[in-house]
Amino acid sequence: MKRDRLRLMLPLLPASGFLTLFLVVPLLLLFSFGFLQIERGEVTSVVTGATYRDILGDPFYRYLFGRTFLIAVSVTGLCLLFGYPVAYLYVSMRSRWRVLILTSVFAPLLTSALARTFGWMVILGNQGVLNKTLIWLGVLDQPMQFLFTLTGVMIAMTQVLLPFMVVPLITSLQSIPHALTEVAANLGATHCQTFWRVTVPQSVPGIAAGVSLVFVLAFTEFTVSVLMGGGTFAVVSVNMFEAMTTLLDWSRGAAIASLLLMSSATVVTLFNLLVRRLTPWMHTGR
Amino acid sequence: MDAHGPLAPRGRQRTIVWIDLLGAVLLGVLATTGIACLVVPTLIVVITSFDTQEFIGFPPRGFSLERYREMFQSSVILRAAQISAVTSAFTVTLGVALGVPAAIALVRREFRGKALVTALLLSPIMLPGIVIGVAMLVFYSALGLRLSLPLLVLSHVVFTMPFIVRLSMARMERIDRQLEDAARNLGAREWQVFRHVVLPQLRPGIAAGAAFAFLVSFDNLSVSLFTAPVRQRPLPIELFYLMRFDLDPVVAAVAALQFLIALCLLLFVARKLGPSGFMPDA
Repeated sequence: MKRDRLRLMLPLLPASGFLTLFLVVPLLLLFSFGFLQIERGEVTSVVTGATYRDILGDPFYRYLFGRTFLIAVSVTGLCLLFGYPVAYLYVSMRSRWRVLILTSVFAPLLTSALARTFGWMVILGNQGVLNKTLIWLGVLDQPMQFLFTLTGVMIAMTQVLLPFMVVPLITSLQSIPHALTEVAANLGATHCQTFWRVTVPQSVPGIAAGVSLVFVLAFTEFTVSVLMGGGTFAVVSVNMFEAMTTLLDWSRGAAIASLLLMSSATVVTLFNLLVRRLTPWMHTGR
Repeated sequence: MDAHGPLAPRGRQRTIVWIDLLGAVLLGVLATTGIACLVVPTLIVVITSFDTQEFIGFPPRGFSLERYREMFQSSVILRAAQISAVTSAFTVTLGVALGVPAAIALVRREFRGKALVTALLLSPIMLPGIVIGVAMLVFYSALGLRLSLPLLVLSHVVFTMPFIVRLSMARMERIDRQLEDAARNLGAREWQVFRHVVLPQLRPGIAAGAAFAFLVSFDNLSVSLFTAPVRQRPLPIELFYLMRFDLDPVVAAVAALQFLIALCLLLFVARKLGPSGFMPDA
C-alpha cells in the first residue's frame, strides 16, 4: 500500500520538489529578509521590525501604494471596457473573422513587452504619431507631453495587458449556451436587455478571472512604468527596483516586494469573495 | 433545447429598437479601438525598423535594411541574443522534463492533496515577475552563490514550467483513457503504454507548452534583471538599457525580427494543434 502510494506520487515529486525549493523557500526567505538588518553586506541584527515599521509608517509609501493601486484599478477598468467588446465580437463572428481577431489578440503576446513599449514611445512622443494626428485634426495647437506622464504609462499598460483580459472573457462567453440567449429573444427581450441580463451575468467567471489577472499584472507592472514613466516614476515596482539596484538596500527592497505581493494577493482574494457574494446565480446547484 | 412557438408578439422583434442600434455601434467602436490598440504598436515597430531616418520618428522617410545590418554587426546584441537562446533552450528542456510527468500524473491519478499540488505547480503564473526575481536573488545570495547562467536557467524554469504543465494537462484531458487500458490489457508494460500510446497523443500539448515557455523565457525582463550575471546579460536586459537612456533605433530591428520568429513558432504550433488547441481551457 505504502509502495503503491509512493509510485503514484513519483512523477509529481521532481516538479513539486523543484518549486518548493526554488519558489516557496525563496518567498519565505524574502518575507524574513525584511526583518534582517544589513549593513555593508553584513547581517548586523537578526530580528528587527524596523524596516517594515519604516515603510508602513512612512506617508510616502502610503501614497505610493495608494497611487499604484489606483493606476492598477484604472488600467483594469480600461482593459475591461475595451476587452469585453473585443471578446463579444469574437464570439459573435464567423470563423474567418475569428482567426483575424484571435491573431490580433495574440500579436502583442508575440511582440516582446520591450518592443511594444518601444512602439508606444514612437506613437506618444512629442513628434509622435498621436501628436501629429491631433495637430493635423486641429485638436491641439502644439504637441502634448505623453511620454513620462501618467496618461502615457496608462495607455501603454492597457495595451500590454489587454490580451490577458480578452482570453478568459472569450473562454467564458463561449461556454454560455445559445439556448439562453434564444429564449430571451423569444420572450421578447431586446438585444440590449439580453446582453445586460443574460450574457453579462453568465460571463461573470470570465470577468472575475480577467480582472484578477490584469489587476495583479498592472499592480506589479515594471517594464512599461520604468521606460514610459522614467526611472523616478512613482509606483511600487520601480521604487523597489531602485532600492535594490541603486540604493543597494536589500532588506528594504525585500520588505517592499513582500508588501507588494501580500497586498495584491489580499486585493484579489477580497475581490473574488465579493464577486461570489454578489453573483449567487453562478454558484447554486453545482 | 428547441424554443419554437412565439411566446411574445413577433412584431417587437422585427422593429429595430434604437437602443440596440446604439449599443451595437458603441460595441463596434470599442471593439475596433481595442483591436487597433493591440495591433498598431507592433506594426509601428516593424515599419520603423525599415526606416532611413537617423532618429526614431514616424512616418518613415524611406526604406532600408540599415538597422538590420547594424544589428548583425553589433557584437553586444548578437552575444546577448545567444545568451538568451541558450538560457531559454535549457529552461525549456528542464521544464519539460519536470513538468510533463507531473501533468500526466495530475490528470490520470486521484490522491489526497491533489488540489494543493496543482495550485503549487500553476501558482507562478499568478506571481509578479519582479517578486520572483527579488526572491530568487535573496535565495541565491543567502546560499552564498554567485549569479551565473545555470542559476538564471533555474530561475526561468520557475515561471515557465506552469505553462508546460498547464498546456500538457489540457491536452491530456482530451486523450481517451480506454486506449491506455486496452494497451495494458494486451500486455503492454507501463513504459510501453507511455511510449506508444500516451506520448504520441500528448506531443502537440508538449510542443505548445514548450514553445510558449520558450517565448516567455526569451522575452523575460523582470526576473532576469535580478538573477542574470552582470557580465552575461540576456537580450531583454541589453535592450532595456539601450532604451532606457536613449532610444537606439537598432532596437526596432531586434524587436521586429523577434516578432517574426515568434510568429513563425506560434504558426508552427497552431498547425500541429489545430486552431482549437490555441485557447487555454479555463
